[in-house]
Amino acid sequence: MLYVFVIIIIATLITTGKELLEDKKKLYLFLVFSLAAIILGILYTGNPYGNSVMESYVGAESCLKGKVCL
Amino acid sequence: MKKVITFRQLFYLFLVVSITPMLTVIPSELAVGNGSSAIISIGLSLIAIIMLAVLVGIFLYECPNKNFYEILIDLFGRPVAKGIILFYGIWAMTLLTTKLWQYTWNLQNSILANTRVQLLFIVMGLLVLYAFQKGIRTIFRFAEFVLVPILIIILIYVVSSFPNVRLDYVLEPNQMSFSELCIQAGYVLAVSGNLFLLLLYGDNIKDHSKSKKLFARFLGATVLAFILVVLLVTIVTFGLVGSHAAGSLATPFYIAMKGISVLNVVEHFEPILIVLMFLSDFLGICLYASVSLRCVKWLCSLRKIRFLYVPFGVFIYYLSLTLCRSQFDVEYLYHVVIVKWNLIMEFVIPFVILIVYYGKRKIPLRDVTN
Repeated sequence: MLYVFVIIIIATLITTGKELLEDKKKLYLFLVFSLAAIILGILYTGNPYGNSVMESYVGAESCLKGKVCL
Repeated sequence: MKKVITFRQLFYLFLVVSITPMLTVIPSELAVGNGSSAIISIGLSLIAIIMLAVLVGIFLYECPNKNFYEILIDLFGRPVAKGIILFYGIWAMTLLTTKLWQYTWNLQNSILANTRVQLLFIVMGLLVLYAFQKGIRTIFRFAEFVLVPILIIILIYVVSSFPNVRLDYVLEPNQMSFSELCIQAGYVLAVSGNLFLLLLYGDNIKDHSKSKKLFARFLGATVLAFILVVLLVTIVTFGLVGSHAAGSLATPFYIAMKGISVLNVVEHFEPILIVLMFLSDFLGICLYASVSLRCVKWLCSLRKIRFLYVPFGVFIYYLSLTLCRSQFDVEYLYHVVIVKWNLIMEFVIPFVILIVYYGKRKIPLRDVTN
């Protein structure tokens, strides 16, 4: 998913490039948010319990019963 | 700044945004006690809500055409104003991530138990992006458009459930101390504090010329509608499923409505509630995203911030996933951090600002910038 978002950000950068280059403050702000998003995307390694509510409950229950060691 | 919003739209947005917490968080949190303690807590919260409404009214009426940031500049100067706005920006982004999680939580607990949060985030993100492309005016008009149908549907639910409400569930004697009741009231206040966010749109309001009496009537009706809905929903929820069961449910009102029929003709129409909550969550996410972007705009002294929509959206997506990895983290974040943080940002700081405003009132506020 991160790759898709990076492509979308680059596409946005290209389409709004002229506006961003005219005002350096806008460019820096764009880059700060984009980089922060990408860093968070790299840091995010998934939900240990699962990404839906059912997975969460099943995962947490297994963890409590000692079936899964996180 | 374009003046595109009316007072009515502002207050309607506040009410629509509050609908989901009224149906989910508030009955669930007030269930720590019982029916009587919940009613007393709502009564206590009403005092603080009225005070907040008066505060909002004072600033909106006495500082026409000024938003919260401009009021802060007038009172404290630009550096301090920017410091406060930075704090508000961080808070608004955290609130936005929690709101995103609560929206997925409501859907997953009702009809989409096996759907992944990422998919729900992306669907909502696309909708919000589309709404932002149309402008803030569209969001406020949408709130104006949906509020009355939402309130009518909730009223139908409440009236239909009256024959099944068990008064012995609601009228149990209160066993909580005053301090515990105040803590319970904090959960209602954390939701009603959104009224303060309307100050951020002070410069967009176009009908400042309306009479003070009419403005006060709008504000009073908003507070009254808020308290009435909270009270009715809580009483009906407790009266149907009991306070203990309501406390352990994520969507207590939705569960309570499962066995209700209208005139013994229409049954199992509770999925409509999911639509109402979705609409409310959509407008809530729009509001918090708009507040966050406004804070960024004011901090960086920009006039337009349309270029930031996409990176900001991706940032919030990953911030939501990183800040809370599961529903348990969301619950912890909301109870331990967000409720108290809301009270500080939406009650404590605004009242401090009001005190400073009255302290400096000898200098006419509108002349300070000249």
